[in-house]
Amino acid sequence: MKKQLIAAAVLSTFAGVAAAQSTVTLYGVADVGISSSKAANNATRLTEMSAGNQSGNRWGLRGTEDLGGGLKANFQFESGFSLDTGMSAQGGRLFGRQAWVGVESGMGQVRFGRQDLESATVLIGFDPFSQGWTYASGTSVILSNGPRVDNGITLRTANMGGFTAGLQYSFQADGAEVAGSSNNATVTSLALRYAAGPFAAALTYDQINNPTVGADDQKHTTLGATYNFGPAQVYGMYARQRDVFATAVTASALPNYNEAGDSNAYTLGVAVPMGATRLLAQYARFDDKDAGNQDFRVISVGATYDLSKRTNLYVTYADASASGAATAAADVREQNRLNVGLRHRF
Amino acid sequence: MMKMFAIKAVAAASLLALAGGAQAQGATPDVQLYGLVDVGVSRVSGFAGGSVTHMHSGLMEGSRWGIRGGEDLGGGWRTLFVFESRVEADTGSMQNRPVGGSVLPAAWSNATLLGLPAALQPTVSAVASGLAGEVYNVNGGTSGNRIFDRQAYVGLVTPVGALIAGRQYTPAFEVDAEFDIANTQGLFSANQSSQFLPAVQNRIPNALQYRIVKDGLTASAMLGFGEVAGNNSANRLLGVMAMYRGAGFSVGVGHNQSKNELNQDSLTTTVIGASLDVGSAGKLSVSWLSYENDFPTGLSVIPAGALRNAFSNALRQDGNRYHIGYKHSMGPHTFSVAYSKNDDKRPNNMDTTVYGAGYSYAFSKRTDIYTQVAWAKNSGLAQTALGGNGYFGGQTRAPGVDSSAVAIGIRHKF
Repeated sequence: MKKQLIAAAVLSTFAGVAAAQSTVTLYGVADVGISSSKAANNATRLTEMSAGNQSGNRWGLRGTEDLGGGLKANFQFESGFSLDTGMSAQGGRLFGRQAWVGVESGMGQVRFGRQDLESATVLIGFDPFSQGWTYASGTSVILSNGPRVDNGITLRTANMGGFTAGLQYSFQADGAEVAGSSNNATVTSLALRYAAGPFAAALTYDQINNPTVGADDQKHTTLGATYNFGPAQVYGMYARQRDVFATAVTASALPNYNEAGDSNAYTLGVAVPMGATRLLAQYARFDDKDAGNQDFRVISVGATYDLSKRTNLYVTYADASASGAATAAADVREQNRLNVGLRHRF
Repeated sequence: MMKMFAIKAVAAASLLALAGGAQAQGATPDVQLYGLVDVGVSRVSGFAGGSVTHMHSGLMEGSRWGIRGGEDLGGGWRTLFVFESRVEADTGSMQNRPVGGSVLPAAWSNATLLGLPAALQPTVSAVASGLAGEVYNVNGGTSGNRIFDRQAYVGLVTPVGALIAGRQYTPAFEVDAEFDIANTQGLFSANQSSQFLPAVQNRIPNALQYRIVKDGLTASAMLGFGEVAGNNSANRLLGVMAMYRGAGFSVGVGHNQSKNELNQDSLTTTVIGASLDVGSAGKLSVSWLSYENDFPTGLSVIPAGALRNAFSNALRQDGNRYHIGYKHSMGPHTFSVAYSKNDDKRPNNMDTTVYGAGYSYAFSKRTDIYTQVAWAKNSGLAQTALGGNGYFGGQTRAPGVDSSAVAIGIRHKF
């Protein structure tokens, strides 16, 4: 149940025309658990309190104002933090998860500010782990599946017979712009989605300018498909990732793994609902196309149990393993992580 | 490290108490935006520059805003959560520092007093300054500026007790606050006599608490994860407490024990308290707190050798703290007096005794005004200057120099 900020709503009602419908909602997520993880081949095991495993901890305000004539103004301020320590997340930003204002009509919408990468808003629907539990999800290999951009403008169509299309441009993906557009990590993201009954598919493309002079742009092309058979829903993604540089505008990938360069990646997952329980499994493969050929795969299993619509328990386990020859002691492709926890949404 | 604040673990307790009662399944989930603003002016004496008159925030209770709520899951099950942010209303910041600045007492910053050659003073000063900034500032240091510094947790209440995880008050601190007549508030709370080094950790991150509330009994056990890979006990805190509220009296006991980052026994605190209603308007409260710390936490940043050994030895703790206070309430008027003594058993004998008196007038349940006076008597190498609930006073100009303070202010809750 969302809490409406009555005072704000009342004030805006007075301020606006009598017919205008305006709301401001306070909402959030509290997600905390215990995790046991191994961060590299011969690393010692870490048992810790972990926060935001399934969904990043957040609180936020979102609102809408009816402008009349089918037009609405929307905004969202969303603050991410670590529930185990109280620290702000997203590099200490106050509203590091979302901070945008926009206008919406029956045709579609436009948003200005910090927001999810447009590809990621679509690809989450093709990941049975919904970008959660760190590398248990498809974020481990699919680099478009999760990140956000600063300084973004997004145009998104309304649903047109099952089709939606989104186009996003960011003047600088991370932080303030610097003079000279070629000196910024500018981002162009295109996301197309089609859904009909139990079937959905998506095609996304991202291109990120590498601020280094003479360097190629980073490019991801990702395909996703899902089909809900009823007893089980299957998911798959395939990505072609080229000229990936540093860590600008990529998902978390496998922690500490350097995904720079060229790669192909794919995932195959399934979700099985059984009453209040939902079983999840996924196989993800990262096919490194660079000389080092640092391939790996991630096998993930998990279960969620709903205590209510807003509260659930979870347990997940993900195992990452290097392909091919014997690996070094510090090889970060050899990781595993167990999470047990509770998520509450309001 | 330690920031002295009114005990808002009460919020958790009251939510838990609600959960114990009969509640219909599917009751409306609640989410609440709440806060407190406490601002005033105080004058504190004893500093190198003389007295300081300053605007304070959170003298009685730390200024804050937060979001709290929960959901009734039926059958005695319930979720609860709290996100609580510090607001220093005098500056708008989330951080604070002692009124007298972030400096350590001479006992911990003077090379000679540390048993080191006088020539090492510049090195000692640099280390002391770093330590002071790291552990003395409120919500400061390398892991500072936490948005939800005060509290951040989510919990699941079951018919057989609650599991609560996140940033929380420690069990021994809860007991200490309960039997402090000032509930850690203002110029003369029990903690003012043992500000720094703190005699008890007040809140810790990564804490998992098991808590039961039944009739008059509240009890908890806490594990604070140290989060050191390959070593599950380094940096860990274990705590337990039990409090019983009877008709006209309360008693409680709490115990914390912690390990430092090198897995050595660090601060251990035991606190015992009792309170008694005196007539219909009075309350008498007493507590005894014992603390010991043979291997101070956070010193491994100092290069190993004579320097670290000197700090490690100087910052060892061993002492007792005694508190007695009386509070009298008549309608909107509340008077209180308290005496607290920190008896340091280490060679530096840094004893501090705090005497104080206060009065508050409540305009409503949500708004009151207050005034307080207090005197901190320092002996041995003690240099305690008076602060408030949300902050330390700092150090007086020299060992043995006393500090007195007077404050007025207004507090509003929403």
